[in-house]
Amino acid sequence: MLKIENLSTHFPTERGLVKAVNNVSLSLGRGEILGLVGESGCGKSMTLLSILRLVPFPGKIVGGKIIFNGSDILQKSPAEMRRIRGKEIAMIFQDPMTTLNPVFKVGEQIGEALRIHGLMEEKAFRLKYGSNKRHAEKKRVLELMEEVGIPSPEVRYQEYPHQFSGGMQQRALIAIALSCNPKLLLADEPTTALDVTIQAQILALLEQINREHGTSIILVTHDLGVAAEFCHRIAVMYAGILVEEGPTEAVIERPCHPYTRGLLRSIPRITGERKRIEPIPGNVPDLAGLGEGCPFAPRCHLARAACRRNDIPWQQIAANHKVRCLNVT
Amino acid sequence: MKLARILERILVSIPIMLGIAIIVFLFMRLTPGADPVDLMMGEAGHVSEQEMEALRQEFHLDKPIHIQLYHFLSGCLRGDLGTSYIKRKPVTTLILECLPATIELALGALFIALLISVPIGIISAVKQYSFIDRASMTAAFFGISMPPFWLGIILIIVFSASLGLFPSHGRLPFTVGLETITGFYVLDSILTRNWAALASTLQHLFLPSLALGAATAATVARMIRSSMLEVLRQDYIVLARAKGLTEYRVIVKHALRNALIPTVTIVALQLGVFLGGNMIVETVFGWPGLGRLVVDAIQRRDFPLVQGAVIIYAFTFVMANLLADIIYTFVNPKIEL
Ligand SMILES: Nc1ncnc2c1ncn2[C@@H]1O[C@H](COP(=O)(O)OP(=O)(O)OP(=O)(O)O)[C@@H](O)[C@H]1O
Ligand code: SF4
Ligand SMILES: [Mg+2]
Repeated sequence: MLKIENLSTHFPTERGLVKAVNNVSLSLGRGEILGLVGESGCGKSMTLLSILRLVPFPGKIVGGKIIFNGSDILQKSPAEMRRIRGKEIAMIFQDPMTTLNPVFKVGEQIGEALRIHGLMEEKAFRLKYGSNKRHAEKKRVLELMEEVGIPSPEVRYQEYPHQFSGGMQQRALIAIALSCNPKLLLADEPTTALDVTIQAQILALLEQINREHGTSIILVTHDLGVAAEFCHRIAVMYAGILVEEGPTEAVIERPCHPYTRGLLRSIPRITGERKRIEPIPGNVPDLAGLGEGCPFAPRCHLARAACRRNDIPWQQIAANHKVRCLNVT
Repeated sequence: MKLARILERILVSIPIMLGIAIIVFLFMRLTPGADPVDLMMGEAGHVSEQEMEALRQEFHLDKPIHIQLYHFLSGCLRGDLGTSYIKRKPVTTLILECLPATIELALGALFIALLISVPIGIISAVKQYSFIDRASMTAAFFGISMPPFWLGIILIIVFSASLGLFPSHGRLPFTVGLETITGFYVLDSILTRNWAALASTLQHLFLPSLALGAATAATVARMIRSSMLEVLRQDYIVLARAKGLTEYRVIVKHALRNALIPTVTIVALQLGVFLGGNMIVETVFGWPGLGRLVVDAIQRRDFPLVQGAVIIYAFTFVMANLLADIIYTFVNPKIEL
């Protein structure tokens, strides 16, 4: 249902051209959950924002195709794009505290997408919620709030965002995303800003949405553990490029890219004997000064001269499992 | 509690007002060379000692200063600000006669300031670094640095003397009759359905309002621009776009409401500035308001009148502050009801 081909999103900056998303290709089936994993600054958010064509200035999508339901999103007119945003493809953001508008009541913000996409005029909607638009909207909003687990929705409907806790704000944002029954949900680190217990609840909620509505989800996270637990497939991103992609079990059981292995070693494991947590040495490179060759080379203990020379080609490991490294055995 | 907050603010303003009244009184009495009886009699020529004494008694000038202060303060509480030395009329009456003209001008200036600044502030932020942005911010820079009297004179030369588009003096010519009810000519002409007077009043109001409001327009435009720029970077704006809203609704509904919160306070305070800082503009445009009354009173050393006017100015500033606070309480949902 979603097929991204050679997507590139660049930021011209004073320090040089930042290739935040560099020739990324991904695909996602109906009802599938794909995990997009990588360290901070590797271009995960920009990949998602590119799908909605909301890349912030001065960033620009400079190439590629994003085929959604058979047609290329990058060819749509602004008006067509607006009909897709919020209705077909919805997004959940990293920081719930700053993503709800502080001056509007939460109920009003949840109902807004219903209103602008004209859902109240749809026949099925009117049959289910009645033809009085205001009542129908409120009914649907209360139902959504219930679904995402906001207690006493009647009261919460009238409240402002600052009266909500972080977890409740994220639930409200999920309700906003769900309001028009989108086919694709882009979740950009939806739990990073929340407490651990709340994190688990929010992830469970997303899983439930995927199960009950068949919504496809791209879950962005820097936590490979979360992705492993939750996603059908995992794509690992490093410095604007994808370096490994495959079914979750394959990537976790048989990680092939040194970076993926590094990520795996850096997450604490509860199962089995205790392992030391090893952070990956070195830092994320400055995307502005990136040259040819494998961007991971400066931090890679297997790096050879050949690694720094040319773009690294994809190698197929198994049916769906591929990796971008010269040292795969 | 919004109500408690407002009440608290009202209570706090009482001692402020009292303090101002005392300071004003002392300043007036301690000014050297200011025996009011001399001043009053200066014009009358030869006056007998008895007449002087009678006057001193009439104005309590024969009493010690703290008794004078007592008379002054208790008068203030009764709404009696004393009697003008020169005009021999109650100060309160004189001020109330001029106040509508001044308020009308202040509202006119506020209206023009907002009419200019809100759209410019929004457009400059949305089209940051565009030609419109650069041009209007340069204009704003000049708007802020231009003294109102100078701007007033330029406006008169250009729009009145050369182009003949707008009158440059007064509120309404005698030839246009208007039955005054409230003293607010715009209101009065609407109430009496006197459209000729309304048109003339608005024409007269335009240039002084522009002269008075220009600097504020510039300040507010810059404020709105910077708070809009700040707001447009927020996550909730990205969410609004991700919901599928048109850019117009993103800006006018989601961004502007937030950007105006810091601005409304400044605008309400500006109303105080317009009411109290208009001496020069009123003088330049021959506007029969409080500012001109005060300038006149200062020149003729009419102390009770100056004193009363300063009290009124202080009062309007305190009120404008209170208004700013109340508005802020209502536009910011984070302050709970
Ligand atoms: N406004 C901007 N101007 C210049 N460069 C930018 C801008 N926004 C993002 N970038 C660049 O794009 C790169 C990718 O950013 P992105 O937000 O997609 O990272 P991310 O993977 O989502 O990281 P995080 O985990 O911190 O959210 C960053 O390294 C940054 O250098
Ligand atoms: S291509 Fe070379 S540098 Fe890059 S990850 Fe593989 S071994 Fe390391
Ligand atoms: Mg991000």
